[in-house]
Amino acid sequence: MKKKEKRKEFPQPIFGYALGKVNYCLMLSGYLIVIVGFLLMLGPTSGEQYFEPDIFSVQRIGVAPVTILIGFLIILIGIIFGNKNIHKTNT
Amino acid sequence: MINYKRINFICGWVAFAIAALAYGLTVEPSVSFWDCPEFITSGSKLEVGHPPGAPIFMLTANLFSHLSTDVSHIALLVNGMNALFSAGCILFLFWTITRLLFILLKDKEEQINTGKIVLVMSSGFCGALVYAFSDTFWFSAVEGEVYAFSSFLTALTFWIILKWEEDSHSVQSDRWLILLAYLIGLSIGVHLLNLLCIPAIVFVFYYKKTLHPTPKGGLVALLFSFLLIAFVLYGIVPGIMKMAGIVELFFVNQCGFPFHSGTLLYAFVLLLVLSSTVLLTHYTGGIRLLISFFIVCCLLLGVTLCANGLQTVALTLFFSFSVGYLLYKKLCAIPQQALRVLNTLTLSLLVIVLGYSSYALIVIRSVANPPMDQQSPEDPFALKDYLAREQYGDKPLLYGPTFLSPRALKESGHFYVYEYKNGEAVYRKSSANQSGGKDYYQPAGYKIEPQYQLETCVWFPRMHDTRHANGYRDWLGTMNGKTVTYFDKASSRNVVLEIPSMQDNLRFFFSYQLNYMYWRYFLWNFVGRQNDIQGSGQLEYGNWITGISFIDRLLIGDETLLPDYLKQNKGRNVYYALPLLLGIMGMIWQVSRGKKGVQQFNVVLLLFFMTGIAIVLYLNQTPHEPRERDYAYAGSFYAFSIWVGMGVAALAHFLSRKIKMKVSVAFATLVAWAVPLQVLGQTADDHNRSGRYLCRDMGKNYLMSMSEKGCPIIFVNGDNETFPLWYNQEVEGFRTDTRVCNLMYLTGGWYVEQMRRPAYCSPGLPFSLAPQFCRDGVNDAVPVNPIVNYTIDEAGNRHEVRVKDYIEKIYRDNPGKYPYGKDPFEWSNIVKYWLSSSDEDLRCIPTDEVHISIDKVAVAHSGMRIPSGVELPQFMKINLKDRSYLIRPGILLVDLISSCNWERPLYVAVTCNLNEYLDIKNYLVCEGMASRIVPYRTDSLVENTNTQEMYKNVMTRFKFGGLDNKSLYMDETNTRMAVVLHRQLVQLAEELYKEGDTRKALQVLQQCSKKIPFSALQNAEYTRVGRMGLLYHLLGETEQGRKVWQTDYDKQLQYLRWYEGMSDSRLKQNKKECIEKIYLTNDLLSEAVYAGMLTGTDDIACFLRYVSKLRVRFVGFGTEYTAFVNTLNTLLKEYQNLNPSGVISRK
Repeated sequence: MKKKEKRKEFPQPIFGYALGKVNYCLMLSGYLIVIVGFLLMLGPTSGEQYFEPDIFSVQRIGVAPVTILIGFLIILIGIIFGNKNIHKTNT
Repeated sequence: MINYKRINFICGWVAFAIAALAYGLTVEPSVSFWDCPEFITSGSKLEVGHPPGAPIFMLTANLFSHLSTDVSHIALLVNGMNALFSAGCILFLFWTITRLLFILLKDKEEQINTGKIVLVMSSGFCGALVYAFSDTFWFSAVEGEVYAFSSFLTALTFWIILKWEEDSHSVQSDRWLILLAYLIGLSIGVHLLNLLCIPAIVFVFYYKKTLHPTPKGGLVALLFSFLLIAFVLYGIVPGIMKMAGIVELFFVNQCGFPFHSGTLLYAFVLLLVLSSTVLLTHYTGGIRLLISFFIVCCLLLGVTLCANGLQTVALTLFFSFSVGYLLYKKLCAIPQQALRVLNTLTLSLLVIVLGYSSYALIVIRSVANPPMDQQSPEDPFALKDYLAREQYGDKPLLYGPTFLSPRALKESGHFYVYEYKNGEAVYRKSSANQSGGKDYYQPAGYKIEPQYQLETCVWFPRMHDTRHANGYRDWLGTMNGKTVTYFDKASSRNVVLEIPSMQDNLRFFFSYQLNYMYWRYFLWNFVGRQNDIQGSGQLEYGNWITGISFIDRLLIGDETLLPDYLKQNKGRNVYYALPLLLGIMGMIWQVSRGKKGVQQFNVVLLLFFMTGIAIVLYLNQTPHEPRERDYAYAGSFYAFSIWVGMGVAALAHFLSRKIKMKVSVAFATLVAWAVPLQVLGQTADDHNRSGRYLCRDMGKNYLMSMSEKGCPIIFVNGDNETFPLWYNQEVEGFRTDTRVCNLMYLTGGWYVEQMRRPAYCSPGLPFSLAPQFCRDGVNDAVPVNPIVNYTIDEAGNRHEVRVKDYIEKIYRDNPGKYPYGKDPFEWSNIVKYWLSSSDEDLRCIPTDEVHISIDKVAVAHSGMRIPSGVELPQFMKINLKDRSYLIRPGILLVDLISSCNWERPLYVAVTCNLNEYLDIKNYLVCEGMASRIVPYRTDSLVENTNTQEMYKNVMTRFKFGGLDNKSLYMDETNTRMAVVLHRQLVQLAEELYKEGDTRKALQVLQQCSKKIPFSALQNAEYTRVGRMGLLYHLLGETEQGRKVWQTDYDKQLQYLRWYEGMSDSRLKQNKKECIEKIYLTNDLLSEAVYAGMLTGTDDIACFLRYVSKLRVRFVGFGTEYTAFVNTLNTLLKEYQNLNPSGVISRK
């Protein structure tokens, strides 16, 4: 924690960025996992003449959605992860 | 300080645990009525539910559904997930209350003493637990809807903004803002309710970032927050889809790429541009460049596409320049801060898009064509409509028609037709054979908006829906009215019309929309609720009460006179207004705590307003909603619960002026626990859903009423006869040989397409009408036997010539030639020559009586029971005489009867009202919870119940959802369903009795008494219990019969007692209901008298006493009621013919 500065006027803005490299990497990998999940969900489809049982296969309604959810969670973690990776640009 | 944090942390989790325990003990073990079965299906098997979809809910529900391998546990697991989310909501509510209080109570060193810690925690518990046990929230917490998840996200969002406020001095705190953006993006995939937190968020931000907040600044912040909601709701959400649509159309139609190529490319470019802009903020200092990139990102999201044509260009330019100018002006002073702000802004945009991208799930699953694929949102165009919930139609908000406004007309040839305004272009995926195997989007006209006579449109139209004209009038009583004149083109003269005035509109808004449909719900949660029966203005149903008898007497009359079942109703909850008082105290105290307090108050007030009254304004509700709508306003009850918590601290402070602080804290703590306990004590019994399986079993009963052979089809209409069936088929894999066909959905072309497809073991529905003639816009509604010409006879009178006359004339004049088929009124010929005609004007039903030829061999093979003595006719004749139009569900119903050729059994759910679509009620034979469509008429001599089949179904195949458990809580919807089930059983017993099979009749009655005891029906006003008693009597079980009959009769008499005890003005208002009850009681009594069931005259005397008393009252009301008094006189006279022994001499 920073030392307390008791000032009447508005505190000086602090420069820098909220997210660091690790955050970006986590978010990127999270989203890649989401995309993998969506890809796992693809497959043959039912049509006018034929009912395709594969649309309810374990891969498509079990593995894929859980993967997507994990991906979204990793993005969330990516946003709130750590607080040391902040590079300051004090100019 | 560390001490406080730990205590706060632990206490929060204790609140979570208490709530989780309560919900865990009361959670419904299987599906619940309304949308729950649909949501659980959409989660468990990732099928596409109703618009606007909930992909994030689907994903989490899917995760939970994998926790068991037993399919019958899936519903419980999803319900359990909601219980956890709800408990999570309570956790954050607790921390929100304690955080706000901490800010108000801490000293200059950010410290707080032990006494205050106790007070803060007590307040947290009180507010959080009052909300946890409150009626509306608990209801959603134990079932499989999206509201629990949505509440959780709202609570989380609100808590995060406070968290941000707590450490907003650091750069890292921006992360909370980014997280908020991400959550908003995700929450679009649960429920849009979460967007309503935005104003509160903006205000917290404003107060933190401004040294001296001013009213003017507040106003700007408010406007900005509304713009922000609009930016997400009307900008990003539809904008992305519109942009995707534009790119998709170009790539598929112009460049010849396959479907989805454009959408994918767009998604890729969008994410690329957004993420590179984010990265760019790290590597360049050029503010102007970054601002331009930011604006490009926004434009790429399609936020300015909400207008049409040139307006879009103007909006785009305006948006770009104003945003660019404002950002530059605000940021150019401190470049480094500018980078930080732009970084946060672009990151926020990026994560909103990431969250929103969950909608890809909906598209991917819709492309797979699962059996449930509502609106089939598989391309950007359809998905945009799906997200905008287009099929629910528009409600005017600021300016629009009243319920009496006539449609505007325009000239078309020699006729006048309804005028429509063309909206955006519609594109439809083209089937492969139409476009030579290439993917192509077929332009399919424009969206149309009906137009109304401008003179009859008003500002703030609150009474807008023609279909509810009677409801509006009933509610208002007398309409003040405003006279308008408009020029009617059809009759070319001026027409004078009386439409509701502004005063009427406002009266309706305040008395119905605001008072009855919002404040009543609010007071249910914080004051008390009369009972759980849906009200539409009556004194005896669904009002708010206090539990303090002299106040309630003023509100609803003398409660002791109410029918016993209403007095004992488990949904009767009274809290003596204690939570409300605490809440008001909390508000007052908060405002009195200086600048911080006022700011907090404003923020909570904004949340309260946006999630309550703002929704009321937006929904513009009509009278007679199908169910109570309190669940929509849970967010505002959440906000009020914050004040309830504050009320405890307030109490301690108010008391401390008189007594010692320590004592007052102790007293406040006592109150803090006593109030939630009082609420819990009241609400626990009517939220305990354990042991209830009725919804699931009703779904099973519908399905089990159908034949096991031939892949039957069942036609249904309402939510509660559709979703439970889907759930059973999709989630539990039950009777997947059958097909559920919802008639209401058949109005949409997408559903017809889906019904053509096979699903599991059930082949597609064999419509004979080709796909291109069932599309939206083709054969939506066709005229029945329209007028083609007029003839003028010698006397100069005009006679209509209808198509039927015309065809008959041709056939008379040209014998042997059959231009429209041998029998031109036979369905296959109607389809061939008329409905499939390439000339749009010829698409009609050319007769008022359709023939369907009956293939007798097929009927014989179908296994259908033909009652002895019934000769199968050559044709099944369907009467359309009373209709001028037939809408698509009606057309396709006839079509299926014809094309299924009796080989594939067709059923109609007994609860399904067909009248809207087609009149075939004389061709139905009941076999349980469904009636089979048969080729012979059942109205005259033939019985309309297949007792043999129905007996088998009822006795061996039906399930009764745990109704025999006497302590089961039956809410109104469940009671209604139990009443239907009971009605079917009694009907079967009656039919068996008529057929002379007394043994089986008695068996059915005994089964009925055992499986559906009175405890399951006691919440219903009308039941067949009286009839049941009568039947017992006729079957020789006189004692039992008398007992059963008496329970029903007593209930009705108690209603008369209630009416009799009303004040004059109230009795006048309830005249209609009172008369109805008198007749009903009379029916019950006279049937019993007729059957010789009554041994004394006590029961009759009791009834006559009430009737005479009521008669005297009505006589006193004056001449207005003469007609009614006369009918009562006749009624009384009829009973004078009774002889003393009670045996009746009356026919």
